[in-house]
Amino acid sequence: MAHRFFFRCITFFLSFFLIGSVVWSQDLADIQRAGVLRHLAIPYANFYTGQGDGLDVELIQGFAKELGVRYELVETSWTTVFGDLTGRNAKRNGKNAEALNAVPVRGDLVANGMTILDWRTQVVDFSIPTFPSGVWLIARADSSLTPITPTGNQLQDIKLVRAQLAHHGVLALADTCLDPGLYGMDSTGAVVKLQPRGRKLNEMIPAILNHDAESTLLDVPDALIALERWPGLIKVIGPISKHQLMGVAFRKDSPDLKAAFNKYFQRIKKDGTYTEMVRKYYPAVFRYSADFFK
Amino acid sequence: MKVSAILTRTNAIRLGGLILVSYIALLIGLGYLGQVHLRKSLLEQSRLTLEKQAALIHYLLNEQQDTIKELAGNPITNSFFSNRAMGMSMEYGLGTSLEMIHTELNRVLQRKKLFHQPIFSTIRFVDKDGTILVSTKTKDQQTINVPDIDDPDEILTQLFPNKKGGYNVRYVAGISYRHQLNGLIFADLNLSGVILPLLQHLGDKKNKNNVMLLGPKGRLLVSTRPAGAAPQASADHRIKISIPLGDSDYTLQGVIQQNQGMLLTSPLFLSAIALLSLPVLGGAFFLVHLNNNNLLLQAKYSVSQQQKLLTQQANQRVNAILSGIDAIVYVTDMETYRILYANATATALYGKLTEKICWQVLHNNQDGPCSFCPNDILLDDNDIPNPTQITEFQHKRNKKWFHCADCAIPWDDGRYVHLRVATDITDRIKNEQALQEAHKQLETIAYYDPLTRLANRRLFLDRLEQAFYLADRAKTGLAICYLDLDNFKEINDTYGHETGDGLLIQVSERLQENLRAEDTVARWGGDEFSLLLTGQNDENKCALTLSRLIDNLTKPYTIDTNVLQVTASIGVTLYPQDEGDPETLLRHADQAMYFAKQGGKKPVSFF
Repeated sequence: MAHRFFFRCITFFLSFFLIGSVVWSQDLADIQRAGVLRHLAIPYANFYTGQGDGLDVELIQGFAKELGVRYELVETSWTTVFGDLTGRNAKRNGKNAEALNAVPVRGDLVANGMTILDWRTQVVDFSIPTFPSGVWLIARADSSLTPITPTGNQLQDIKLVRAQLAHHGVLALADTCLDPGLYGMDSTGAVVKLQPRGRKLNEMIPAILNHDAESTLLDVPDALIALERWPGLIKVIGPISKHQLMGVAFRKDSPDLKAAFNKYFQRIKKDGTYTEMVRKYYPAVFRYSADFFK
Repeated sequence: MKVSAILTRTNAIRLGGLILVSYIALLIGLGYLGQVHLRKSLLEQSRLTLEKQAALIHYLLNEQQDTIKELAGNPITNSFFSNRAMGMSMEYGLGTSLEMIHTELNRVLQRKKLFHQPIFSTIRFVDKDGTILVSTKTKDQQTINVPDIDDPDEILTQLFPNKKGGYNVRYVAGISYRHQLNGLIFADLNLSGVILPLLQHLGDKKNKNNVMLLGPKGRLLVSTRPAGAAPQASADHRIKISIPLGDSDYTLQGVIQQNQGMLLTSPLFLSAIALLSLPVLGGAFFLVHLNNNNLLLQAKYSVSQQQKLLTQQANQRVNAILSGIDAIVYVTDMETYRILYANATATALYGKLTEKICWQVLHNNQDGPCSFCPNDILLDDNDIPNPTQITEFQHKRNKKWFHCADCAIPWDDGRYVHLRVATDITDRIKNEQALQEAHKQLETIAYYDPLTRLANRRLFLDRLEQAFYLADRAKTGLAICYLDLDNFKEINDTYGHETGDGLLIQVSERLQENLRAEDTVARWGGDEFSLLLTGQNDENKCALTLSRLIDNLTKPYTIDTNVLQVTASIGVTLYPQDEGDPETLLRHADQAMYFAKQGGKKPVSFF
């Protein structure tokens, strides 16, 4: 079993790098020579609102300014985001990534609140974490699911949530951070309803309010927005995942670009610039994870 | 009647004074009325300002009540309680709700600003049991007293003491769900930060007037006068105006301080009066100045007329004088020689002279100015007149003598002209010449022998005395001689006195011819002569000279038809060989002449 997993990983890396590098190879020097930094973004919460603004838009615009190049926003989707970055689409296959068809490369980095997941790290390189995250179970206010009483132990809290899920409908979204496979939802007895591919994360709450299901998996940033947007109509039952982190994704052959971003991010985090950006788009996140922004 | 006759200097001053007094009285009256109206106007203005302030503050307070009401009804605040009711924990969702409420409270605090100051000092999100869940104050208390709220939809206003000894305003809004109170919003107004600047901004910037906001029961909330400051005016000069803030229990009270200064003692008013009086004073001054100028001009005109009359009279007198004097007076241009003036005497002699050239009409046959014309010396090098030049000359044309006084005098146009006063002195010259002739005759009579024209005894003695002293000084010698004709008496008796006189005349001539000019020959009387020979130191030389004289004297004389011959004897004494004064020397010469005549052999005998 271990040999098979190892073999699959080797196969993926070889196929990905061999094909991807032929299709596209561009690092910091090439970007600076071209004079443009292309930011791949999926409309998602307040990271990229789909209206040309968002926390990550400001973040990458600052990075482009730091590099002295022009900023260009390239909108993409969860199904094509890796192909647009690396030249080959990919999807989760169990705990591993699976390389799909080759496509043209459209951007130099992905930044839209992408959770750092194991399978994703097989496809791309992530920067140092830029935002705290996690996945909660959100239910309609009239749901019979009841919020847990925190125990002080996150794993214990997750068990308390999972214990309630049997026979309750739960919305999920494959190939995203809300992918039920990531959290072993099969073993909870929940009635998992996968949303159609292409559905956006911020459409999950309207779906449960529309009685598509009783509850939904939702990442913490989206949950914060949802609580603000639909006060009294939803409730947080508890955590489904441990604390997660988000980051900016880079091609694996763009180490210089990633290093430049990490340097830039550390600087703006230290001087308070990044905190002000976050306060603008996620004012409530500081109570959720105050330590991350210290 | 002419205006000038009425508007005399005195009347003008009186009129100016009357206008000034009336003007000032009018200004004072108008100023007083203006001040009265100004006070009323200021009072009304203060009232209007207060009403404006009251309306603004009322609107501001109402708006803040609406803000708090809106905040209390915000779904975020209610969702907290509903989330809590649903059992959500602080860790999972409820804390986020609280953070969002905190953000909203801060947003309201930051958004609601006036004069760059937040309108609310503190906003609190409070549980119904008084637990402060969220506060905009960083280090706030944990609980707060919750008042009784009958109607959760109403905004309750509380006054609570502040640190400055006054009161502050707090709005309390209930957060309810289906008329069930879940929580509250406590919002404290920033009175000192917002309301006070509003009062100061809208009120009197000099802070003369005090504006206060009073709460229910007349409690002082805020005042533009610092706590403890004394009012600037006494109670008599303060007017209180109270304006209620709509139908609320709040009142805006203004204490207006009226100007205590009297109008007439106000430096500003006095300055204004002085300033406004300037035109009248200026006009009066101008009038007096004009009148003075008129009088001055009249006086000047009168003096001018008088001077003109005096000048005419003086000219007439001068003309009369100049015409009356027996002298030719005329004035000529020094450059053109044109006659500018001639008196009656000159006109009588030469006809009309003015505008003619002097040397053409006064002298004949001349083609240029007279050679003795003094024009060139009448002015010195600096064009200053020299002293009068006096000359006398004889006119070529009429042979008359004139005494001329020439000088340069300033003419009407400032230039210098030549004045000549020529007096006819022909008679005087003639008299002087006759007098000189008579004097000469008298001198001849006194010092010369009338027959022989030789010096007489007086002249000889005078010359002897002079020669005597000259010889002493020059250390030279003199020869004093007496000469006597030996047989003159016989000739005189024989041929008569006329022949004798003729002989004496020829002897005298031979004596003068044979002696030097510096020697003196005198006829002593009869046939006696005296000789004075200067520079004679040597007896021999003297004897030789006198011998030659004797020889010439003894030569024959032809008188009429008679040829006569005479001899002579000479007595000589030499000085300084012979000592003595002139008389002594003469006596010694006489004695020597006597000896010669007596000896008979030598016609020349030395003493």
